Amino acid sequence: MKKILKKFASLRITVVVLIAGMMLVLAGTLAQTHMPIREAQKIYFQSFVVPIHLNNGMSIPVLPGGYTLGIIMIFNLTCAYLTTFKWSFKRMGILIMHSGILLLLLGQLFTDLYSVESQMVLNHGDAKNYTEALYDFELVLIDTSGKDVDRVYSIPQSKIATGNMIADSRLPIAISVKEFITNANLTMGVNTIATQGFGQRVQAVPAPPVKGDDKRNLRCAYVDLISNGKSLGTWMLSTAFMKADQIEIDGKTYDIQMRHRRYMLPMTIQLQEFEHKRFTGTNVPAAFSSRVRLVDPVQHEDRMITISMNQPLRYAGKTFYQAGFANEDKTTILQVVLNPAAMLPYIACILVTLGMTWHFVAHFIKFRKQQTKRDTEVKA
Amino acid sequence: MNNSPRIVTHARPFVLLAMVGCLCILSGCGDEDIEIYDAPRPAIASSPAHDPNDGHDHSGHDHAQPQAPAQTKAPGEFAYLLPEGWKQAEPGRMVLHSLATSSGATVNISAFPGDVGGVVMNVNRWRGQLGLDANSPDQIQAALTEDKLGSIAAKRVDLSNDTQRMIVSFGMVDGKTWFVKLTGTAQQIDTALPAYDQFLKSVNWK
Repeated sequence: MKKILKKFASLRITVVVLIAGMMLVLAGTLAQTHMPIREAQKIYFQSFVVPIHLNNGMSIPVLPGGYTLGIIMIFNLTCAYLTTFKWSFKRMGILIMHSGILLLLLGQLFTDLYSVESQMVLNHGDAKNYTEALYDFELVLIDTSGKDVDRVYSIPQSKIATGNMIADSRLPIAISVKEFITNANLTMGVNTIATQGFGQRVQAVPAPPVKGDDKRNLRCAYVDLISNGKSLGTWMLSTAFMKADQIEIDGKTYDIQMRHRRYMLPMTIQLQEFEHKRFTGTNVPAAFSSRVRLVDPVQHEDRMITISMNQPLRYAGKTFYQAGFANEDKTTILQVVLNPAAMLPYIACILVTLGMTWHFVAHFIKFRKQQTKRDTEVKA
Repeated sequence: MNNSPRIVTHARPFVLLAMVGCLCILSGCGDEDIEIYDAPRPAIASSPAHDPNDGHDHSGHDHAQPQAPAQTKAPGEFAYLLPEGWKQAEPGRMVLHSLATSSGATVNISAFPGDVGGVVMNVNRWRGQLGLDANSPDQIQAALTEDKLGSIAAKRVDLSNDTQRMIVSFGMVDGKTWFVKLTGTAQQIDTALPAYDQFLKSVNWK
């Protein structure tokens, strides 16, 4: 076992991984010139291999992806500690420093896996207690009969996009996806196959998917809804529809809608005022900020907060950044980030600093001692 | 130094466990499941905003402050002043807002992303609803007049048959085409037209 670990602890692996890492960063950075940042991140850094696509449709892996390099680096570093590192008080600096690097790598892994980015778009006076995913969508059935709460049945995009039958005992109906359209142009209804709901008079014409950090595909799906083995018709649902359709199931009325995925918040945020300052005599934005009211009935919070470019709101584990504006400065766009590993890079940097300081001080003391000894010997 | 092998021996299971943990975390990514949850409604309703620290009493007591004009803010970001004598009606599935004019004509407001098939297709569709034949793109362009939805530049088309008349004002706001459609008999429309123009001026996206 130790022999195997020793092989994995090789410094050659470290050097190769570091070189591959530099190549990956270079390639990933250059790729951002011709593709959106999000896509480049996914292909180069949030992947195990980076493929190159050939004209005949085949793909060949050309570089190890960020996950592969990260895992090898973590494994290599850990094996080195288990096999070759000599544990001593003097070497504690190196240990702390490398622990910081290890934490930095793990922090990035956790961020990739568990962080969630969403947006809150508020028009003047709007109050919302949820944020919306930028790209992910969901099909929801909502039982609105509750007094203060809505019961939401959320079907994730992965189940809709595969086009299979969605039959689950927890759902009040079964859903058969007849056609899913990644991106569509809507025209007023001709030749539509929908027999029920709002979509009867709207036709979804497939369009090439759009790619871009500020672009959203308009998702549509034709679905058959089935209750107790009986068809409730074919419905066309789309993220473009501003209102939900209503459907009666077993005597109960539900809202049915395809929408951008929502993340519920424990509080409500209302936009009171949006301020957009420009450099005098120009249209160049100098600063913009949102004055919002935050109401959290559980925590008995009701206060005013200003969110500006360098002053995000941190609440309920989420960070609300001022990201943009629209609609002639009447709409604010807040970028909302949930990152359970947000503190790890800070801790990692402190550890690396501490480790380096320890290491250099230890070496300095050793050097001073040797110098003093040499001086004494010379004098003698 | 003598203790070092023991430290290594003790640390090894934990480190291996951590590495296995990492692999488990990675392998666990993937399939999302259906979620069922209770979504509370917002603690405060969307409304013209106010500041709880602005020195005013927001306790809900009526202090007989002068009422703002009938400013209506409804879901869908659309706001307008309701002309005198007009009433809000239950919107159908296809529309966001429905209004009944005092003369009995109907105003329907709807919005769709993009150009919804383009001007020619839409105008011919409305012509079809009135039993009129489709027109050529040139004829349609010639029939369009300039209009405004609040401060937004828009187009207007005025169509009629023997019994019905339809005026549609439409313009693009934030990537969506907004349609304001006035329908009724020729007489109802004639009566409602001044209020309709006044209504269009009041439109805004708050």
